Amino acid sequence: MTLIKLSNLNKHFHFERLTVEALRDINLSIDAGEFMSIMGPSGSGKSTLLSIIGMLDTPDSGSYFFANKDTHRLNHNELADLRNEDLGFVFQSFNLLNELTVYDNIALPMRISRKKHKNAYIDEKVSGLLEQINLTHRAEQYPAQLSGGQQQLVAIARAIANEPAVLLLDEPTGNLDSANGEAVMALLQQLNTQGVTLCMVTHDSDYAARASRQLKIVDGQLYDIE
Amino acid sequence: MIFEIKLAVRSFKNRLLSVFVMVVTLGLTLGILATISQLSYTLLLKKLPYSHSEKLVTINNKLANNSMETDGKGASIVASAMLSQAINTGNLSSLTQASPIIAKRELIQLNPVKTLNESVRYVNSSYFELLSADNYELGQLPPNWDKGAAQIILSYSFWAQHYQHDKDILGKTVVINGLSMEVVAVTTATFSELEIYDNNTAIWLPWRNNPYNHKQQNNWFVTKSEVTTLARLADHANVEQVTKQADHVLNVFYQQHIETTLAASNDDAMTAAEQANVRKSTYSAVVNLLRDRIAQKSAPMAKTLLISIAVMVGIACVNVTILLLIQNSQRTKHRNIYIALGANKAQLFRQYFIQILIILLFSLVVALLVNAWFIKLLPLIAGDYFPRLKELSIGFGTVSSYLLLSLGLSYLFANWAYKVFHGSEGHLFASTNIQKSSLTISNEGFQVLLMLQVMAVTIMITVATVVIVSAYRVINQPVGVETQSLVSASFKPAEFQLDKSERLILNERILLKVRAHPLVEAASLSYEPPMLPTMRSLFNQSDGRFIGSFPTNFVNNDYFSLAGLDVLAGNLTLNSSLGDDIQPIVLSLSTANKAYPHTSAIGQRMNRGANQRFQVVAVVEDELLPTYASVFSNQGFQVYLPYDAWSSHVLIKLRKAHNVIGIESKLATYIQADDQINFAWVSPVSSRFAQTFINDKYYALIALIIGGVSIALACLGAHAVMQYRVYAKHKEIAIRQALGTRTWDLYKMNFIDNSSALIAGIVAAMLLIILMTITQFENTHLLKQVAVTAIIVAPFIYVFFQTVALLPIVKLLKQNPMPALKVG
Repeated sequence: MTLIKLSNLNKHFHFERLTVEALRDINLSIDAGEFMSIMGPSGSGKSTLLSIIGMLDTPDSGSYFFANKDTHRLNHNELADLRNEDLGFVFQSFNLLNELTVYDNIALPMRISRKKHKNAYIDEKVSGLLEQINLTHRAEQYPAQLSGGQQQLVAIARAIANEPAVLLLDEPTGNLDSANGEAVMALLQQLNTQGVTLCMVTHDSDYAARASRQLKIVDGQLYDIE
Repeated sequence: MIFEIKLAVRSFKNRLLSVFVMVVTLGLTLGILATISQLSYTLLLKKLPYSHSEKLVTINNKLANNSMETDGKGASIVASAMLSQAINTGNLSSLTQASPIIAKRELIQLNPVKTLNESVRYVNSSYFELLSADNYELGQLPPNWDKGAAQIILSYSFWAQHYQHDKDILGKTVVINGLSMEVVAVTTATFSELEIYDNNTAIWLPWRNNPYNHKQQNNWFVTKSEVTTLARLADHANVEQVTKQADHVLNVFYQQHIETTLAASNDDAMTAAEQANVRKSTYSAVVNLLRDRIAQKSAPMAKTLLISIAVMVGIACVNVTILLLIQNSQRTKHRNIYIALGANKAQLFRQYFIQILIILLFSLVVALLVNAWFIKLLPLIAGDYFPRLKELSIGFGTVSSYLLLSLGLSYLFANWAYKVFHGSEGHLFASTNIQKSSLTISNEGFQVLLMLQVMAVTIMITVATVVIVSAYRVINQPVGVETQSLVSASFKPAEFQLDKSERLILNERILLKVRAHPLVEAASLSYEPPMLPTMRSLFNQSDGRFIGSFPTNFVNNDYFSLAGLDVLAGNLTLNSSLGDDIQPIVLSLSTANKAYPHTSAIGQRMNRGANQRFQVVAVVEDELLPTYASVFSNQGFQVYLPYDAWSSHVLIKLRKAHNVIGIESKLATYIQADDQINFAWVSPVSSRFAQTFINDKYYALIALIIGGVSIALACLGAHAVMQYRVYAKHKEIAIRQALGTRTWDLYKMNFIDNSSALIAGIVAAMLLIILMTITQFENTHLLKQVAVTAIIVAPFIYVFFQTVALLPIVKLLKQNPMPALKVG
């Protein structure tokens, strides 16, 4: 079943007199449960594509359907709901909130959710996720007290807290050493086997090769790597 | 919601100083604003604490120029009586309820230094919180209060001192000044007046009890007299109706009065043209709501204060906004994560809202404290200037207004912040330029912001400097030679002898006597100017006391020069040589030439009014009495009294080491020891002048406080905007550092970057200041002062801003630039 469908998608950026074509005529379908990786040099449009798939940005032209919903027709609140319930983000620089403890960071999507989760539910859910990433003992610590790998695990736990259909991963291992990178990749693969769709941007060809489908983006155009 | 509050509080913990500055800035300005708003409301809008307060009016009669006041009874007094009669039973009775609630007329102050002042006071007992107000409640005057009934209100201190706090004194008959009077009330210890007065030693009499009225009824001192009637309007009557009717009553009376007076005078000195001129004069009535009348003097000040404080609050809000902008620009990542996690607009808005609301609620506490403090402070620093200060209080209205204001401001800020930071959510991704994610305000926006801040600071510092300099001058107003060591001694007119040379000899003897005192460093002699005939009898009373209150400048050099009075013609003679019913008179040269163009004025008889007959005994130069002429407006027929109305004063400069207060009594004893010198009193000059300047001092003191707070706020704002400016460039600075730019070059870059906006702001501010001063003030001296101050202040402002801008960049350069260069 196609979960994400981008058709003839274009995106331009204007810098004073200069216009940069960030994405050109992108056509992409991502099925549910798929593990897809995107590679490409700096400035090729990877992050722009990811921000459009993540509904943080909008294309200049073309269409984007998510779970058969035309995102163009959704208002800000509906897009926010989709991001909260169906999408999970993992960033290279983790982007955890430093004012919040590990526990609160993971609980954050559930607190933002319009479903008004009860505290007992949140507590149970966070505990389960902490157990899954083996950081139960760090629950009350702040991000600054964790290693990079641990922070990324917390970021992943936060991303999957609302059990999204898709995880958007922007260089998830970029700031990690190989051991921590492996741990993160193992967790991601585990999630994929549980049915979570993964869309990962990476510079690392080894990690990219672990995806079931590999794509390359060059000068804003997307190619399949056979 | 609780989670968001916790989050906001946690974020504040990392920015304690910034939050503290915001809370103090808002708390201080809003606290002062609340106080001044309460003051303005109380003075301008709030009802008086009496029943029918909005129907209480004061009615005054105002005499136009060229009027006639020479009937010996005083037209204004008679007019007032007519008005009272009209209010009670005549044309005005249908518009007013019952009788006047209480007629305002002079009360008598018995002063320990033997001075009796005739003055005009309110005696509204319920306002003044008399101990026993029953007899003087509004509309319930004691019987025969206006028929000369022997009733008296004692001041608290007089009661305490002379009657040993006798609680049963009410209703008892006491003898004061030879008069038996029934005590009807005693003022409280905290008795306050509408006007500045020596309350602690005052005894308050119903005016008909004035023992001098019946003795001196033919010699009213009417020029300074002002009679106000306090009345309660009928339910259907309004101020306009009463004004119109009272005008009519007064004019009918006055025209009759003029004709009667002119017919009786048979005055050769008054030409037909002058008589016609007198007939043109009119009386008019001035009717004010009592509430407005009480606040009349201080209302403009209250309005000015309100505007000043509103401007201050505006600047404080700008400062706080800039600080919040800095905070939130540093937290853009936080916001973007929220967006990525699915937070919608309402949730983001709520975060901003809660953040500012918490700050405002903290500042509420500070504001309430400041408010409470100012409510206590105001009576101390301006209690004599602002009436009704006792009515100021912090109540539900204040707190709820503040809460509403907080909610409103929070909403505005949250809405604005959401818009400012909207659109940066794509910048979370690794390869996006992180510089943009930290800031969304354009460089042009910064320039404008900085320029506005510079303008605000320049204006505030210039105005505050002018205010401080002016205030300093007012507070340290030089009086005579040296304020703190000057005393003035007065000698009675009876001391003067018949002819000029003897008088001067005696004066010289007084001077020598005073100078001989070991504590006196120098002394000079001055003279009270002679009085108009109508004033003459206020001197030389049988008991030797001085009655009459008029402005007298004891250190006016013009007066000193009067010692060398040259009589152009005639001789100064004794009253007795002219007969009992004829008084001697000295004419100014111009008056003499005008009245007697073809013959000598000396020896001519003049009649003014039915009972006043004079004989011209001398003519003097007009210029001899310039100040005197300006005090009295009766220029058409200027007359001067001869020698026996003169009194002399010695201005004494004491040796520096001695305290004025202690010396007063010593000097008085010393002078009085000489039998030949008929001594009146000694008092420090400074205390006489203090009263004159007291209102200006209040103005100055309040202005000083506001000026100081304004400068502090402006400096905070300057610091905030410059810090923000440097923060905005931290990425660029880090890159330049990485590329090997020298520290000095970075300072230079910052210096040059700031210059254009700074200079533009200063120039704009100076133009604005000068424009405002030209359009708002006619006072060229003030204009010069403002312009010069602005020119002097401008370079300091420039240096100040550049220095303030230097501090954050110095701090930044001490830090490792790598974090700013790293992604994320």
